[in-house]
Amino acid sequence: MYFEIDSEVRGNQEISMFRSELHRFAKEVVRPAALELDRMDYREAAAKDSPYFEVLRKMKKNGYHRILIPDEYGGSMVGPLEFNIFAEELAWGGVGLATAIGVCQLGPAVASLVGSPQVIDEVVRPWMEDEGDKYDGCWCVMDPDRGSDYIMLFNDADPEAYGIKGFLMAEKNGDGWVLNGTKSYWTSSGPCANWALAHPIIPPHRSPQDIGAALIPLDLPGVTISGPIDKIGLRDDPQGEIIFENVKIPDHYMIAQAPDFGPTLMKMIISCTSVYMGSMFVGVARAAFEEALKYCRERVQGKVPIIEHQLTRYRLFNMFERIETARAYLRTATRNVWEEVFQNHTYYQSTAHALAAQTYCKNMAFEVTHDALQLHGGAGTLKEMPVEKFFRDARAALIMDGCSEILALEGAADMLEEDLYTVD
Amino acid sequence: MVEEAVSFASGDWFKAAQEKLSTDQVFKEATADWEGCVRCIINCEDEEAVKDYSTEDGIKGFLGMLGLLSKEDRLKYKGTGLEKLASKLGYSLGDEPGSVDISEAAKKASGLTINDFKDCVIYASWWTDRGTLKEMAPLPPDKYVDAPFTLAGSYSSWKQLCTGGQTAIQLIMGGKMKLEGNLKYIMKHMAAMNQLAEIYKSIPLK
Repeated sequence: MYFEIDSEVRGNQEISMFRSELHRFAKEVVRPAALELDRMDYREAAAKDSPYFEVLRKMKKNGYHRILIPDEYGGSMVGPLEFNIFAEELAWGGVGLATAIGVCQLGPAVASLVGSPQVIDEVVRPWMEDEGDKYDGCWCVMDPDRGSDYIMLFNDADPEAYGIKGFLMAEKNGDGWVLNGTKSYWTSSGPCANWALAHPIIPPHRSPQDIGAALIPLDLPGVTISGPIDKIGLRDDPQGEIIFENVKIPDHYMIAQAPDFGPTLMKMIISCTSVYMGSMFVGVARAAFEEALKYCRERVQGKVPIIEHQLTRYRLFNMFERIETARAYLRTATRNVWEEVFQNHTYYQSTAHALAAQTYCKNMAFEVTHDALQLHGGAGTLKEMPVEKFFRDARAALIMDGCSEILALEGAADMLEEDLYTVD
Repeated sequence: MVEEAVSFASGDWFKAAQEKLSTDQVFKEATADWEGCVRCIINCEDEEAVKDYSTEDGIKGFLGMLGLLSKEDRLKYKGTGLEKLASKLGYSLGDEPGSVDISEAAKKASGLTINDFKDCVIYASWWTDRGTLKEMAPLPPDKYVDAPFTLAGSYSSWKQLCTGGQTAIQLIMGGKMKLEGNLKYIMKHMAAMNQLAEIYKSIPLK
């Protein structure tokens, strides 16, 4: 654990307890399972008897799948600080599982913001009551041939030029919708989920900006869930492709069906996921830092523990400095997202600030995990050392949820559009 | 003081909304840099409208709303679904709405079905400029057709918005209401839209 500099956390008994409880959960449940999943065969990690599902069940038992859902819909909505702490602590345990826990509740969370009373009653409330395997969610964002396109097109002056080929498409059909297309193998938790929040292109299909949001039960006819992929990082969150062939859903499962508001919807979602991602990678950096600290106290070179060496101390302080500044900025950016999205419902959050939090924290996590591994010397490269996983996870983060460079370009466009800085 | 409940979209409802929008300090602040008229389109071909307009209160409210329009403006609804509905209630657009025998109209209304509401649309304006309410009233169909913003939805969706059953963003995202105009401008002023909904919500409905 760490000294909490923020008096808003330290002085609040409820938040402090929330943090302690989450840390205990991360240490006793998430970390052991994450290390085990990381070292398992990627197919076994996604199999029904995998520790992945045990963690999700325990997570639900603790009510952690309700933290983004308003109380009146059966949730137990937290504030921005708790949200940061939640993501940081879980990712301290294992960033793949923290991702899985995040995407598991993204569907009901978006439904509780923009969905109809019918979908709240039919899906969100039972989802909140589930403590087993009935509602395990995934987030289908990207399409196989559309990587950075997904982010770039939102600020493009000519989105129609992107064409709509290769996207998951939704067509109105009687009282419902029919879905056709594929969501790429980067779908987080895809191989383990039975529900999805997916983003199809909706009529009038003018451009990929006509984006909607659908809640899809994955046991419907026409859904094929492909096997998991083998990858460098976040091995504790299985990812895989999902194919939709003439999949029919009722109208109210298309929770966002206003094509003109596609970019607004996506910017709202990306702002929320950005601050979640940022918090997670503060957690990964902190986990690596703590491992380095422990190792530097134990490892003797030059007749003394290496923590006695000036260069080691300098490096450790530098890591500490980066983690603490990232967390402080992240909390400010999160508060803005929280106020505008969840409290005021204006959806006029600063996407630029949220993206800055994401890119800053991910870059910071890569640097800090790199330094932590370096401080371990050769031991840091051993598969048995947790720091080796943290480094791989942090490397994957530079691409996960949008590669850092593209997120920065989107952030730049938002920064200019939102007129955040003016010259006097 | 307990406010008297009014029928949704009735003459009294428009008057109550006008009063509140003119005096609410939070709304003034939220609209401090808002400019432009929102043309509101209420599609009454909807079971909720059938239910409301089958009661004496509903009919009184409907006629009260028409009473806020000049005779000339009322006549602009000629040939529309609204005129057909009015005639089913025994009212002709050229007459004074106050002259209608409500109990007689209610007898006629008791047999109304959704078919009697075909193409029946009520147009209204909400126009605030920099914190000052310029207009909150029913409109003739041809007025402000080039308004910078249009918000359209079924009678029940509007009622949901005005009772707090669903927020504007839920109704718009869910495809229940359609907003046209400069969407970026609207998003920048979503706090004003939300406060508008809060004020509507504060008007007790029968």
